[in-house]
Amino acid sequence: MPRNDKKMKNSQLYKGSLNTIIMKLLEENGKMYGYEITQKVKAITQGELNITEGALYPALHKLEAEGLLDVEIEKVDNRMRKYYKLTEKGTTETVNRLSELEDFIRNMQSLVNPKLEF
Amino acid sequence: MKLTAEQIEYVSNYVKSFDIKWYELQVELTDHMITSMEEIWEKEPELTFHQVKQYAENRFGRNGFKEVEKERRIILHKEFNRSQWKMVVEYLKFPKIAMSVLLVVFVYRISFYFEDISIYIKILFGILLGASIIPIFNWFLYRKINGKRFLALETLFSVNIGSIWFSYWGIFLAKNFIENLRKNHLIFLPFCCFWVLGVLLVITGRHLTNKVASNIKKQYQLT
Repeated sequence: MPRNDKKMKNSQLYKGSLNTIIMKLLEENGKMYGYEITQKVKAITQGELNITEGALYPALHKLEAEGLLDVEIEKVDNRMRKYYKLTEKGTTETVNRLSELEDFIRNMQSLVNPKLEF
Repeated sequence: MKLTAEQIEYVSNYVKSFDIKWYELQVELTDHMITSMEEIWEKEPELTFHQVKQYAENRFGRNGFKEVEKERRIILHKEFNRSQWKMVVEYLKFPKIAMSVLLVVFVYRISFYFEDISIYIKILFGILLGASIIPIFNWFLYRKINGKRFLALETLFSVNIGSIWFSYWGIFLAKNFIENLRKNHLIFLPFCCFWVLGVLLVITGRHLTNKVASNIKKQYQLT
């Protein structure tokens, strides 16, 4: 299969997990800005998963509107930068969503490849 | 390679040239563009400033910045609507429901002092229409904070303005049911509930606006 076909950026499978991915990164890194999140995901997945700006910002804005993320503004190199961090509610929700995601992965693993243990 | 202050200013104006009026989006999109441009330039120093800008912009997709704005508006509208109705529901639960019921009873009882119920309905919904000035007042108050406009507050205004529709519908329904109302006074009770719901929307709208505005001031360090 050509590498492009394996590109995860357009995969429907990943769209539902985008919010959880963002929350997990914020849980690990404290506070992050938009561009940093896209680059971090790219680095962790060695370029396999590429979050587009068109998908990232609606996801961040939705989490912010739901009260799961808080915003902090800082001046960096002659410009303002908007950082996102988890709220208390967001931290609790991250644990729940990660647990849900792990269950999902485990179940998919059992269905797709029952011989392998997760 | 770091962008100079002039180049940063240029990018900031470029983002604004797409009719991005909202400070929260201007900050976010400008910073994203600049960080992205600096990284591209680091890897490919032979590119010109405008080429780098174009590459960074292309990452936002076909409708670029405006699409991000559109999506944000939809998300905020939905979320504010949900938050406001959640607050209203609180007034329909114990213990706040006691207050709501008392108000319905009070409004209903007053109606007996009026010979013509249609006049009372006009007064009631006129008051509600008058109270709808509150969202308009809020809009003027928070249209700009320190000269900066926020999409969150603009969207909240369009959510709050819903109480005007309540007044309109109240008068419209009363006109259609006036004969039934004159024959059977009990029919007026649902109108009282409808009116109280309108009042709750005005109160919760004001509360939500103050909450969002104070949060924005805190986040963006504005006074």
